[in-house]
Amino acid sequence: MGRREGTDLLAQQYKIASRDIVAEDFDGDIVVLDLSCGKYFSFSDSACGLWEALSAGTRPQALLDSAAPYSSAGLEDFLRKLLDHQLLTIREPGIEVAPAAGLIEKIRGAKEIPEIFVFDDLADLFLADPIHDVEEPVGWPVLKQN
Amino acid sequence: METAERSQPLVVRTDTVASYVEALIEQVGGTRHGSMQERRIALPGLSIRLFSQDEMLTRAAETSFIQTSRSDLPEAGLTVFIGYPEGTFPEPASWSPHDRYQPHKVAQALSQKRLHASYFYDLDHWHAYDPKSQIAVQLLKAPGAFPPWEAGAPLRPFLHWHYAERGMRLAHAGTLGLDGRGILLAGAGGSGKSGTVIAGLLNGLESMGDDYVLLSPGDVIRAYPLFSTLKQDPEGIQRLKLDAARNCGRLNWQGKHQFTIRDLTTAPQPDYLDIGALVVPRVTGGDHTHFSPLARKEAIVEFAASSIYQMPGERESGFRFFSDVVNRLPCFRMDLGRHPREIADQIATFIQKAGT
Repeated sequence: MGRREGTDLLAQQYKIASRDIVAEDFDGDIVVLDLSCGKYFSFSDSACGLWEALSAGTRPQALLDSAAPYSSAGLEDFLRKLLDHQLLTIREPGIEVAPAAGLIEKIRGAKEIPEIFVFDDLADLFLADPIHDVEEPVGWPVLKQN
Repeated sequence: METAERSQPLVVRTDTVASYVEALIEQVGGTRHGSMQERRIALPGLSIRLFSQDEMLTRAAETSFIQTSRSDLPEAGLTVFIGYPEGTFPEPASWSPHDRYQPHKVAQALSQKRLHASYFYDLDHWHAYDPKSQIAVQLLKAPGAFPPWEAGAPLRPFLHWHYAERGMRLAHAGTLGLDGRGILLAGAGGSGKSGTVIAGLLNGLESMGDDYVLLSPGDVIRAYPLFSTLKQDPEGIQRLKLDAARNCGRLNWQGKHQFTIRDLTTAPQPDYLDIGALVVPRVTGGDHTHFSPLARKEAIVEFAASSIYQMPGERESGFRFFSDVVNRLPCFRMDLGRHPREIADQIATFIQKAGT
């Protein structure tokens, strides 16, 4: 439990996985865009706070709080999703990063378990190679089926 | 580039595309095009000198723009050459079958030389732009060999690159306004943008267009018109009670009627609209139109996704730009009623009440 390829996920530090991952804050709601594939991601309220802390390098262990709407297992599950979507990656251990001011309060005040929502309506077209992935003889932007 | 002989078409890859684009612009831009007639196009803050061999694209450029002789934007110039291999234009390069064409990666490769380009594989069709010399080249394989959407929004990639360099953006959005103040209508195809814009124009509202609009993020977010083109499918034409034969032109490549603002109204349109809200329409089939607040995290996906996808080149600055717009504007969902007059009246009331 809590391990990914032999790694204790809760003990790691993380960083944004690549320059293709960009995030913006909208009234405290975080929206992330993966520029390489055109997928948008948004989060539940607790996950917004977690994203801010984790992407800044705070260890997940420091974000376990009895008042937060998640358990250690729930936090691990959320971490796995962030890693699976290649939004975050494990970074080399560095200076300990305390949660930013107000972040623990934000997480304590959250009502929802950590969840990630994926919007990929245009992702197929975003990601497609307009040369090799098109339906012949119709051409771009009609993609091959299968 | 794998070969430079004109008789044998060039083949380019991600790692050679910047050199190809640089050479293309140098070759075409550095040649005298004495036989080509010069046309002038005046857009907000931009004076275009157009030299085109292609009759259809020339006609599209002459008819598709809302030209303006005055603007509050700083003036700049752009020289555009459109041609095919005849006279001074070279044979367009093909993309290597051994290299994936990934637009994002291609844009990154081009940015190393501060160049822009996009390639349409089916026709070996190129848009190439050098912002340093402000020379743009649209290279076709033969007369008329351009993607079907080009005629509806000619020069669009060049305008996108030019304005983006100056902190502005072409947005995939419609607009409606009243007395110079207005709203942005955002959403994917089928959300009701075009029908709403047409309903507004038919009932006394102003518009900067139904599909693409130029946004400038000064103290006020300001929308400027570029294209006069409007589009609507035959069902929408019926719903809006338009006379297809008289007002709406023939069907385009999407099976939609393509026409212009001038075909619907002779009322003068303002030079710009000051935008006070972002509105995401939704076709409901209900009797009445009503507005409800929309979370910004939902609005950004509706607004940015298609705007970023539809413009070639790097995407991060677009995401940042559209995020800034969404964070500065109140955002609303608009559930559309069925009756064009009622929709227009509700929007007029909304604009007046909101003080937008």
